[in-house]
Parts: sequence; C-alpha cells; structure tokens
Amino acid sequence: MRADAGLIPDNEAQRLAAVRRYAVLDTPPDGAFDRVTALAARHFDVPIALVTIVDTDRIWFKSAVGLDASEIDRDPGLCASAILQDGPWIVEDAAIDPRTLANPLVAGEMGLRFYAAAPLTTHDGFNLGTLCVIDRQPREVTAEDAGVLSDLAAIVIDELELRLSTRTLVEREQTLRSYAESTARVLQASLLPAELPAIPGASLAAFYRPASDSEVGGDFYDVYALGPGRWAIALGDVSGKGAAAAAVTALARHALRTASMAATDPAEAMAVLNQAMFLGHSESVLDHYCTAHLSFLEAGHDGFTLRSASAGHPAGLVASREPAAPAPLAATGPPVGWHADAAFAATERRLASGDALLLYTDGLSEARRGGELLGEPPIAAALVAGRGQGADAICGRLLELLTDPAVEVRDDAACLVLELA
Amino acid sequence: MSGAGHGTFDAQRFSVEASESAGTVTLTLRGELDLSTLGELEAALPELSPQDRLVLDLRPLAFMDSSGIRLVMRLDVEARSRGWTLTLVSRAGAVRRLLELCRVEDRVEVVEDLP
Repeated sequence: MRADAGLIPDNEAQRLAAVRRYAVLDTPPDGAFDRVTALAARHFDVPIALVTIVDTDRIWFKSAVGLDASEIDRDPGLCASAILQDGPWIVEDAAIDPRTLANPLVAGEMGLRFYAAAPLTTHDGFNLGTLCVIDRQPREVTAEDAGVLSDLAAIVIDELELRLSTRTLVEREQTLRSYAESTARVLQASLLPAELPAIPGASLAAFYRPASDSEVGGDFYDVYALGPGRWAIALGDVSGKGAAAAAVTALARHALRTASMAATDPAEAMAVLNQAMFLGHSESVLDHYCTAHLSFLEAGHDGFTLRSASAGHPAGLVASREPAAPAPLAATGPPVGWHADAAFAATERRLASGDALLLYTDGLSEARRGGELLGEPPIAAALVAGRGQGADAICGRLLELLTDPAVEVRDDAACLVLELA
Repeated sequence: MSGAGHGTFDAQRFSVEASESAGTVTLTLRGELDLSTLGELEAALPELSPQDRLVLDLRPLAFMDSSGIRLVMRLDVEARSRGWTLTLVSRAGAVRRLLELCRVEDRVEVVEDLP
C-alpha cells in the first residue's frame, strides 16, 4: 500500500538512501537491539516496544517486544508520522487524540491507545525509524520519560553507526587486500618469464609458489637463449618480501640477463650483478641481498656443457642414470650485495643424455614437516624418482613435497628443472 | 657438533649465552637460529667499541638458515665500518656447510676452537 503523501518527509529520497546505507532491513534478530527494546518496555511498563525502520512502503521491525509481527504497512503505521518530527512524538491517549483517533490501529482490532516514539536520527540528520513503546491503555509521559526514550534511541543509532563503520572498514580492507593481491600477481609475473624457451634435446619445467598471496616474493628464475646452441639458466632468492624486495628482484633478474649477453662466463655475469647491487652505495647497506645461481648451457656433439656460478645459493643438483645419488654443483662465491669486491668462480661439467639439473630456493629445503626441516634429502629423492620422465615429472614431485598438508612452507619456493632427453 | 641440520621440536628452540673478558664478547648459540629466533640473538648483541672482538660460537648450534647468514653479513659490514673484529667458531656440520656455501671464510675469520 502506498503511504499517504502527507506522511512522506521532504527529504525522502535521501532518507531512503540513508536507510539503505545502514543495510539493516531484513537482517536477523539481534541481541543488541533486543536489549534496548526490553529496557524500554520495562522502563515504561508497557507490553510492546519496537525498534522500527521506515522503508518505502513498510515499517520493518528490527526488534519487537510483545508483538508477533515483523513489519506493517507504512500507512497506517504511526512510526511514519513519528519520523516527521525532530524529537519524541507522543500520543498519550490515541482514542481521543485528533492525530490518531481515526487510525485503524487505534479504532480496529489492535486497540492501540498509547504510543511514544523517539526518532532514530543519523549523524547526518536522517530519521531512519523509531524506538517506540506501545500500550493498549492510555498513559502519561513525563519530560524525563521522553528524555529516556531519546537516550535509548541514541543507543540504537550508535549501534547502527558502529556497525556501518565496521562494515565500511571491512569492505575497505577487502578492497585493499584484493588490490594488493592483484598488484602482487602482476608484479610477480613480471619477475618470471612468461614462458620457458624450447631447448632442443632437453625438457624444461619450473614453478614458483609465493608464501603469501598479497605480497610479492623475492624468488625468481629465468631461462633465455644467449646465441645459437647457448642458453642461460638463472634462479635466485632476494632477501625480504614486498615491493622493495621486488625492485631488487627485478634488478637481479635483468642485471643477470644483460650481463649474460656480454659475458663469456657465468662468473663474470655474477660479478656484474654483485656490482649492480652496490650502485649508488659505496658500502654495502645490506637492505637486501641475494643468493643466485647462473648456468650457461652449451650444446655440443654429445650432450651439453654446463658452466655454473653460484652466489651463496643452495647447491644445484645433477642426477644421472648412474650413479644414483645426485651430485651437487660447487659453491663458487658469496651472496651478492654483501661486499663489492667479491670474487666469483665458475665450475664446469658435462650433461649427458638422461641427466637432470635441479635448481631450487631455500623455501623448498627449509619447509618443515612436523617441525623437522625437509633439507636436501627429500629434494634429491624427488629428483632421482622423477628423472627419466621429463622435467615436468620432477617438478611435479617437488611440488608434491610442498603441497603435502603435513608440510609447513614458510617462504617463497622456486624450482627450475632441465632434463636431457 | 651435535646437530646435523635437523630441527628439534622443543619449547626452547634457541638460546644465547654471553661471556666477556678483556674486550672480547663471546656469544654461544644453541638450538636453531632462523627468522623466528633471530630476534633473541639480535637482542643479545653487545655494543662494541673499536678494537673489541665479537666471537660467535656456533658449535652448539644445530641449525642456521639464511637469516643467520644475513646477520653474519650485517655484523661483518658493521665490524669493518666500526673497527671491531668478528670471529666465528664452527666445526664440520650443517652450519659449517652453510658458511662454506656462502663463502663466509673469504670475509670473516672462522676457527674451529675458541680463540
């Protein structure tokens, strides 16, 4: 039923927008409001007390004591009249009051005789509804009683304001989080190659698992062609997380790429990266440092030659058909970013058919199962077990280590696998 | 050296014991040094003057991760800029292997027994 035009406030459109803003309509019963209505009924010694919200065509009860209904039509609801006032609206005897005597709630079955309401006024001046008390016999209301009613209405509006601000905060936090997550994803993607190049006679696979969805991590890997039959394989781990670490990660990845193009040896390129970490600083500031591995792979008549330089990075592993145990690649230098005059060396070895090279970051080896560090043994075992079935099979087994529900991963983890056919 | 890089699961995972004599502060590290226990070690680090020596006895340490290496690097940078000396005590084992992996010996004195 459309409400009588005389019952519609001048600011109705904005008032309804305010009602929507508090998102209270049709929400479940709630102890906070029920306590206020119970208190109001007790103070006024009346059978009925309501917290009402005046909607477009109805008056909805957020809390109702002594009335078995959840809403009534806006017309003839008395609350529709009450919200037109700035203060309490009191009808001591509805049967003789000209404002209400013809009202069906008064004249009809309901037999309402007493009605007192204080509007629920928002901080910006909109009356959402009322706190009202109702009786079936006439009553008198003192100025003090009217003050109590206004105070109780103020408690209701405070509660609504509190909920609104909590909800706004939560929504804002969710928006920020989702923004941070999408930024982290884009930034992370920019630190990793979109796809790995094809290396004839070999398969390649890699994965990267960030420890957090909302923060970009510091691990990176990269594979790129250096020339005909020559490729570079890089993997590293920058200390820290977040945007500052990501900037160092981007520097590390791109410095290694650029230096690799000009260098004849991976140790040279690693030294260039180390120098790059000191650009703008004469001394180490160690805000960030980086461990990294860089290998140059060169196709020969019979397999490949692998020259590797490492900067404090967990040793890469090479598994062959024989012997069964994987061989670690030697450490050849300190982490980059520590000291500007660091020396790096390279080691060389042959990769033959069936050989698999694994590079990984310590997020993998320092994951814990039941408090115990995984360490290198299960990583080596996954490499040995997956070898012979392609790089994807090895990566899959390593990923299983991390996705095991009993395993707690505390840091980003990256893996890169090359297997010769 | 007791441990071999295995984490032990007990309430007190890490402890530091300090002793001092004639300009040398010795910190003996026990248990596991990682990101979660690094704060305890950092809190125990002394104020050092030029000519002082800081000895980190890593022999009773069962495990150290990259955050331990990061601290060693930071102490080395500080020691060089302020003029004090850093010495690490470590024998064969997981911690020593990590020091070797990071070529710490190229930069910091690593000895097998307390100086």
